[in-house]
Amino acid sequence: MTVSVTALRPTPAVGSRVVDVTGAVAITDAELVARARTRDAWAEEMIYRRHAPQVASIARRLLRDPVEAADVTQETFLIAFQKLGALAEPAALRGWLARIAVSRVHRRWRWRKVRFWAAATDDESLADVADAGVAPDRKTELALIDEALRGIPVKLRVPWVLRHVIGYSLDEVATACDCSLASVKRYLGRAEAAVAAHTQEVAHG
Amino acid sequence: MAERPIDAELTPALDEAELAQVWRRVRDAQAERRVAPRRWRYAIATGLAVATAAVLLLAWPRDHRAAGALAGDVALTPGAQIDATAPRAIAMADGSRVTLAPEARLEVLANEGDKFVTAVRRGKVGFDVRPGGPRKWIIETDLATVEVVGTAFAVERSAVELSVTVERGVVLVRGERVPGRVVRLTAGQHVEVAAAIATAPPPPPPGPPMVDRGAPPPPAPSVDRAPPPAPAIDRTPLDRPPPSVDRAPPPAPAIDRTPLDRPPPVAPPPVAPPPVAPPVDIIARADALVAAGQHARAADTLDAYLADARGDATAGLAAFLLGRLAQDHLAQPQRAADAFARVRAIGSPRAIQEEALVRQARALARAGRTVDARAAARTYLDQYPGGARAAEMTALTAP
Repeated sequence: MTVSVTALRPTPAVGSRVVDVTGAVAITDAELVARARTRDAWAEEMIYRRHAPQVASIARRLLRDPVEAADVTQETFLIAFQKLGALAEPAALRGWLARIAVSRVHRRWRWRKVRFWAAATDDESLADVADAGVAPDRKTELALIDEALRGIPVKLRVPWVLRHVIGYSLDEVATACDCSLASVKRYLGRAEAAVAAHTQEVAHG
Repeated sequence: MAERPIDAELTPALDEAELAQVWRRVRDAQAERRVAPRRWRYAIATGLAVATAAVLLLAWPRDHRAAGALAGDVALTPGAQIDATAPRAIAMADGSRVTLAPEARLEVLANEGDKFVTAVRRGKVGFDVRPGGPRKWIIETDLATVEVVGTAFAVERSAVELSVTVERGVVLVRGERVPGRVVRLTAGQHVEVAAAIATAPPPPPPGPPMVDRGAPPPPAPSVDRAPPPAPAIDRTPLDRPPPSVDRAPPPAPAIDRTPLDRPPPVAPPPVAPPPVAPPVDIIARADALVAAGQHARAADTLDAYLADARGDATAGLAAFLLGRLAQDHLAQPQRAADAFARVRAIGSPRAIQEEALVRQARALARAGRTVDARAAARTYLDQYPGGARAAEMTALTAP
């Protein structure tokens, strides 16, 4: 459904549903943040609509569980709207949301360690969720990547997923991982080497 | 690999419907959180109210005990007698006020954190008790006991009757001669309790110079030892216990329920036939002897009365007075212990039972009857575990 911004603004009813507001794209994150700080419901919904898909992707690709991904998405935006006043640089909203999402993911991982007796639900591989149009050899490649990711530490895996699966820039990865750019580069280098080593190892038998 | 994110090749992490559902949950949770602070405020306010109530509940009795004895602009220690030769007002530390009419006499029987017990020996005494105070006020007379917590009322003990008039609040008047043994008076009401009529000689005049200290002591009341001559009217001497229900009925007291602004009744109390002679009051007689410094004779007089007395409030007061005389003035701890044991056996007035038990334990210890003293102290601790004398009694129980 496509609705113009001018039509949305005087219609509070849209607060109860998600709409695709193409006209809102022209509004920057900084402007949305400024309005959302005044509890503007329209601006909050725009923020959600603009960034929820990526937040959900971060959660699902890291946790490999759609239910937990939905929960993390909800938690992320709840925290974000609650702490929006603490966002120093409104233009960096995307990275800030990713940092919140990653921290919630880490929290879930810690809980999984505590609840080790509970059935693990992180068996969803990248190949499993590949789009229907993806070629079989690409699916095989995705499966290999997925196997490689499972074998590397979380500290390396998260930057790799953010960079290569979600498509974040190095700066955004650094923000999301709450570490320096140099550290991100170092982690990415090690992760990429591990992934490459694994795929070559499998390819050469 | 880095140019095109892998995510583009995957199905969306959450489809449109799931995103919409998550958004609804976000909105609902936000609304919940915006209400939550108010809930917290209510919860905190409720918690504070409960905590305050608990603190008050716990601190109240302690506060009462911590209040200690009531202080006034005169000594209010147990045993203190307050006489008035002219209108006299006593201001209490708690805001209460006691007003003595000329010739009135008041005696303090007990003064503790939770109760103040006085005896109106004679005359008219007005009490304006601060409402809601920590102490229960009990006014003893030989004819009735008045219990009050916060009110204004007057007690007048004349030669022939007791009159209790309530200006404000509610009082309970108890006594064998009180209609139904107890009556509840509200503002504007008063009760007259007639004394029994006796043909014994009139009591000494009121006031400290009632008895000439240089003169020989007054003769022991003959009414205590020999029955009075048989007159046609009620021959029960005043210093005898009031008639019980199985004997001649007491004179019918009258409860005047007319407002106070009407002139007080000037008619004599509804006692028929009218008194032909002033009554004899054993307590007043003993008081007179004490005032004259004749403690031994006062004790003997009380002893003689108690020999034939029934177990009523007057006998209880007489035994208590005897015990105090023996303990405080005559250095006769054994006699004091027996007298206080008598008070406890009679069980009336109730207000002085605790003090009687304490004094009994002390007297027994003083008499060298340590085993009995310990037993009395243990009884005290059993009956009054939080009593004002608990520490002293605990020390007495130690071997």
